[in-house]
Amino acid sequence: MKKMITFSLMWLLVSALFGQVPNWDKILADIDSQANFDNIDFSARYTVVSSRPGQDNSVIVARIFRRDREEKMTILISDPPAQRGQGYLQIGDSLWFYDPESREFAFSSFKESFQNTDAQNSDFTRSSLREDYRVTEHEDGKLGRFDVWIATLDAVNNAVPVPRRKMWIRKDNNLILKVEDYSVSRRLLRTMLFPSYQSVQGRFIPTRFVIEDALRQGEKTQITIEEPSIAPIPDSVFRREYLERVSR
Amino acid sequence: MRFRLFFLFVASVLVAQVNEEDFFEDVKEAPLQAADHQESLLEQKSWRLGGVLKTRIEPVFFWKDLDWLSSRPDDAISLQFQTDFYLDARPDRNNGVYAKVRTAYPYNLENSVKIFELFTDFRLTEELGFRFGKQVATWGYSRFYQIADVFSLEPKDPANPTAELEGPFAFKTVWTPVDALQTEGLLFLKPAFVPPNQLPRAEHLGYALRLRALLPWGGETLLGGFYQKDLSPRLTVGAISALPGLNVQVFSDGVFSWGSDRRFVVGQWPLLSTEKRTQEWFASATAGLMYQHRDWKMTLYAEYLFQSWGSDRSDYLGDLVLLYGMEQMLPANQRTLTPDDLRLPYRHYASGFVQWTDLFEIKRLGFSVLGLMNFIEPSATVEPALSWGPTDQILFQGGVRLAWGKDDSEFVLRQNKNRLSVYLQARLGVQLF
Repeated sequence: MKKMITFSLMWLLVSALFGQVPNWDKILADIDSQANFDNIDFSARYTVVSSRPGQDNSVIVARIFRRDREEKMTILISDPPAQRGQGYLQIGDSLWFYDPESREFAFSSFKESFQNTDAQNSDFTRSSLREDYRVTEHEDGKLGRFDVWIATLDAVNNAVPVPRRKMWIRKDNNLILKVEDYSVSRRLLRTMLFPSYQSVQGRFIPTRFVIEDALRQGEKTQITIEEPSIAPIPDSVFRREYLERVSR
Repeated sequence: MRFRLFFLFVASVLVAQVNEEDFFEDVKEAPLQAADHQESLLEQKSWRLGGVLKTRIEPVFFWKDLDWLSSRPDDAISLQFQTDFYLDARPDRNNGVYAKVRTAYPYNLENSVKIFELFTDFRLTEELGFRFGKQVATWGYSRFYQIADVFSLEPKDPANPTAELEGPFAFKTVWTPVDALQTEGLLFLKPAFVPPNQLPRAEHLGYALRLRALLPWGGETLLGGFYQKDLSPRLTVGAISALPGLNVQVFSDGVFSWGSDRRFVVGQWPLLSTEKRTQEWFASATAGLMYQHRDWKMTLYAEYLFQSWGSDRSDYLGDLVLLYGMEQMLPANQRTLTPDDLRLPYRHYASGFVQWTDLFEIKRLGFSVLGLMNFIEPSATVEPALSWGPTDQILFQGGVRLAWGKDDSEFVLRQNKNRLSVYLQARLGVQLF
């Protein structure tokens, strides 16, 4: 018993001397609650610019509608003309891709690339870091002028798109500045940078973020989020008929 | 020189630091939009004209046997020049009219212009909508087969399985009481439902009802039924989902029918005849998967088809083709076999398709292999193809079609007994206008 008390006191002393151990459960929950719109609806215009060496940039403009409390999302592509009318519908764990040319909904995956860019479909959905990951390593660091935690997160289920993520998290407000995605074999797959955020009714969404493909040198995608709205979205927007009606 | 290099190094480090410091910014308050994005997308109050032009030219060289080095090939050229014109009119958010006219070369009075779709949409509530008119309608999750599709007027081409298929004249009701459940009812009329030289009557209508429900773990299942007085009643089931942790999608269709709409060839040559089996249960089912590997830019489809009514006699197609050919000499009203009876007459089939895109990091360079097989004869066709497009509008493709099996086997006959065909294809634009 004496030994245990001595050990606990020493542990407290070490913690006090070398800084506090972050409460990762709370931090991940904070990150989720700051990024998610659990009580209100959210919609915005997303511009996805994809660049590859030696090729012209491709630009995709889409409207995104989110109702995070019901795990619903609708994406409707308005540009370029060749992809106009294509869309995505998420209800719970199901994601559908709608092609107006074939007039069919194809069952899709959150792990799939979004319109052949470096973004994944999961990049547009609600954040669920607390449910899906646990922090296995962390260290202090600095990124730009911000003090950050550099945390390594390992997935606790195999439904997530990435098994391991390394995150640079601002200490003052728990905003993510940088993410590295790793494969099961610990190979770097892509790097995401979140240089600027905008505050929307107490939530934080990136103004823009950049995704760099680590497997293909020079390939990157920049996503800009504009015209955010928290106006209530009718239930019908999260149904197949809506995509069919606006895409025809 | 050393000083200059040192200066450049220090300057670059300083610039990098300044850039990194500036790169990550503080949070800014976003100006909120008052407009409802979803309403602005629906409220068009206008009409739109547009279209799609697809052109393709394909010279093909055939060899009857695989000794292609020593024999001179036949050749042919096929030309596709297909244009879809559409009109999309939306007087208000709950009503709309859509028309699509398809033209195809060669132009003649009978076939070159077709009203592919012409329907009106109207909604009573957000949950209840109707569509009335000629429309595309398909059921089923199968990639290569269409066992659950009772609506389409044309067969699915396994080499082009995503092509839009012409649909019937129908009145469709869609009711979505909750997001996870959708019901769809169709009253529809296909030309084949109406006997020759008769006008369509109410009794010729077909009825179809389908329930579609989301699966809690992701995916969807459906249950449907079909009835038309002259055809076998059918029950359809299906499901699509994903395997957790893997980029694998699985899908399946199943159809149970009381009787079969096909005619079966019975007897031995020269006493061949046909019969219809109406008093027994038949089942057919597909099971397939789709796998994607993002880094390899690879997509793979594989699917198996079982048909309980399909023949397990390896020379069945020979008898079927022989009798069909003989019946063509009879007056039309005395023929019993139709081209539909010749399609997929065996019990076990499999199909596969694998495709790589942006090969060697070259945009629009792709390689694909399509394979189709029946296990009863057995016979098969394999089609490897290489494609490259200098722009999105131009695609060149070269490929080989190989047929394997006996001379009168299914996949050899499908290629007009050409064991080897080499084709070059130029798709000169899918133009949206």
